[in-house]
Amino acid sequence: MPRTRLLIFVLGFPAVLVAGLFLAPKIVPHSTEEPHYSASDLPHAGYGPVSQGDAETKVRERIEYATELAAERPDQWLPKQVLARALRSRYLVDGNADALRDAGRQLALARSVADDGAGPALVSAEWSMEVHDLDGAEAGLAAYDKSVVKLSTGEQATALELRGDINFYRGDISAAERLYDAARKIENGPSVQVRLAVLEKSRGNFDAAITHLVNAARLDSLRTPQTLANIALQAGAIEFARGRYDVAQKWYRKADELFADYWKTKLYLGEAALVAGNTDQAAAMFENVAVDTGDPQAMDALAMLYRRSGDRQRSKAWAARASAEWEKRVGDIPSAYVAHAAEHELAFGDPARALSYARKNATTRPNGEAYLLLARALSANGQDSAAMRQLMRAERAGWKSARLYVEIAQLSAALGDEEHAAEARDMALKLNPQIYSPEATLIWFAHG
Amino acid sequence: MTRSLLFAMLAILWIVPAAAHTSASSEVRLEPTKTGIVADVTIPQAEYAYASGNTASNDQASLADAKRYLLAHTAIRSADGSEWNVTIADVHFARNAGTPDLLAKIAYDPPAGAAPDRFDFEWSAVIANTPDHVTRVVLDKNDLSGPQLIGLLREGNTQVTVVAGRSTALARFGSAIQVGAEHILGGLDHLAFLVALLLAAPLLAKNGHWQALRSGKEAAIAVAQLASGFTIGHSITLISVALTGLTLPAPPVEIFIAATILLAAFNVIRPIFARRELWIAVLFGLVHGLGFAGFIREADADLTRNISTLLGFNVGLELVQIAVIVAVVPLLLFIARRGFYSPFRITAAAVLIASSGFWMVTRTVDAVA
Repeated sequence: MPRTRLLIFVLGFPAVLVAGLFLAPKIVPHSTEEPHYSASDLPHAGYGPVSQGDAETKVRERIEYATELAAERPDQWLPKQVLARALRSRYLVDGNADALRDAGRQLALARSVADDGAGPALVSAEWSMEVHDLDGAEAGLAAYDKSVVKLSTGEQATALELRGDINFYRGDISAAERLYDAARKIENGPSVQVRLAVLEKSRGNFDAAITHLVNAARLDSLRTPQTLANIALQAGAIEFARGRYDVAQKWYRKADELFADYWKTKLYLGEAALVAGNTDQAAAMFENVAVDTGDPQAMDALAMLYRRSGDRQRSKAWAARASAEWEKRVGDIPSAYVAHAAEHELAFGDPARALSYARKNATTRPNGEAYLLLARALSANGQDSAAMRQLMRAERAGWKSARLYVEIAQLSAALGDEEHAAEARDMALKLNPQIYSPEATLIWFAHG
Repeated sequence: MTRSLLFAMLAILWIVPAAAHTSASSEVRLEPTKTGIVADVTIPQAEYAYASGNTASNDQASLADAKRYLLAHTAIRSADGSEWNVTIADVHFARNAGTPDLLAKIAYDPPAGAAPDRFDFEWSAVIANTPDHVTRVVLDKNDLSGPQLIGLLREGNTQVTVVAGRSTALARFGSAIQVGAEHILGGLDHLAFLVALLLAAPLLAKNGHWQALRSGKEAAIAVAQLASGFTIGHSITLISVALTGLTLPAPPVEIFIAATILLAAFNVIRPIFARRELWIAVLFGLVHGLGFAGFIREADADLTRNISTLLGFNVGLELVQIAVIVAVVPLLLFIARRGFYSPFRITAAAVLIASSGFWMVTRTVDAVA
């Protein structure tokens, strides 16, 4: 080979190789890129109540019927499970925390009258997951394993999904994913898709999370308006968590179209209004929910709204009402509410009490979200180094949220590690370009 | 069991997660003066009104309340416990960017005999009864190290020990040297260009080819000329930009810098500017100077404030260049005398061409993006 050609080859090859390696991913579309779904991609709703009022009427009838049935057959466990599920439905419809608590009591009664190898094992496990009681869920699943009758492949899938949930909330995201995949192989239903959405969101994979939600809606055979509304709200909350407030609002409006007067939709639409600068509209929506349902999150949101408006008197008044309600709920079902109560104390109350709640939460649900909350409570108590360790645990566990990286940036800077702080700030902005905007301080529900 | 019910349960699970709200924060920027400390204070107006219960308004009564509130929530104490005199020089409410803020300027003067360089700064405004409100305390010594975050104050943690001390002109000059050295060490492209120039220094061109070796003395003179030319070139643009404020947008300058490396690397393979090395070094130095100037304008405006810091930055660049020359040139001369310089310089040139090609592509893509 002539010397000049050899030279061209020697010089040209590495240059072309480097340029090719750099340009290839930009030219060839990324094969794993998720499709970007919008609110219009949800399927049409099926049969079911189309408004909060309708749903309340229906669920009242269900509870009356189930109560009568349970009273007629006091020594049978199945009517008690029916009543428990009706009560859970009430909680879903109007947010009544007493109904959720009473459902747990009915399930306990059902277990007490059931024979060995029978009883509401799986529903008990579900209820325990619902109230963030992982040990209780494990006990329910252990009872299910001993069940004499295995009813369906659907139940087997549900059991796997619940085991995945336990792993997820104990911080082992990979194990959770494996179990969800196993469940999906048995039955690819809407519930596993929602779980995968939660998992992907925790990793900061927002498009993948929304895709799973849309899949869930498409796989749901009933597609009740309320279920679809909940999916729309979740998708909107994901968009909100990455700072796309306008897109989020479209999902929220879709939820409102699907299921009118829903109290949860009012909270999220209120938050969207707040971020858009419509403070009075937001206050009216939050207050409507707080008065109608007694939901302490609505009260906290209202207290924060007034605080951000500089209205000390009204902020303190709503915070006090929220405080009393959280205290009652923590007394009823501690596992379900300690995280919320910690958040409330961090914003309006006592940092020491916030730390106590956050520690309990991190002990029972040691996942990234709990570590983040614990870190914030530790910081509020002046323990920045300990807080940083919790944040690192959350990151190591695979948890990714803009809020996590905001905390890492702030504490790294405070501890003198400016390089780490800058990296964390970049990461926070990558996940949510609006996270450092003034509007972000107004958000109570949909931070992610 | 219907899967739909389970699905609804999940919706409950997820729709009401414990929120992780973003907290608002205040900032206190402490600046040492000849007599004491001046603090520039920024507190979100709503947070001030919420925490104090005062009206946030620019009328005289409200501003008097704000002064009283601030005076009641801040102090400085020397190590011996003596308290400094605190004066609110200015307080008003204004919207600079985003939400409106309470802005204040507070002067702290040490009592006679108290050391002004080390003290405990105390601050409890807003944070006293607001657990999630954070006050960032920043110390700005007006030197090139820039403002430093020295504490995050919260309820229960309302004090930070400050080691202040105004920076001297000499300290600023020293910091500028450090910034210059760090910049050239952090930017491989400038060093790659210098190495490309040096690779050809031991060689003599004849008939369009590198054919002979220079003597040690001739090589040293060539290196000195190249280094001087490069220095003169980048100093001219650096100082011109600093004095006039004129500059080019960064993306084309950065692409052009990569192109100078590409050309210099080709020159290592075959002499394309033989006997014009000095002028090429000056010309390309002008381009690299634009890059340095862009850096100091974007990264640290303090550098351009006076000629001594600008000089310090340039000295930092030169010190690293000299160190590279001292380390590389003897090695090149050693290899050149061993008879395998040709494959060595071709390989080195190939690496430089690949690197410069990579930089040109990535910088162009970034610029277009």
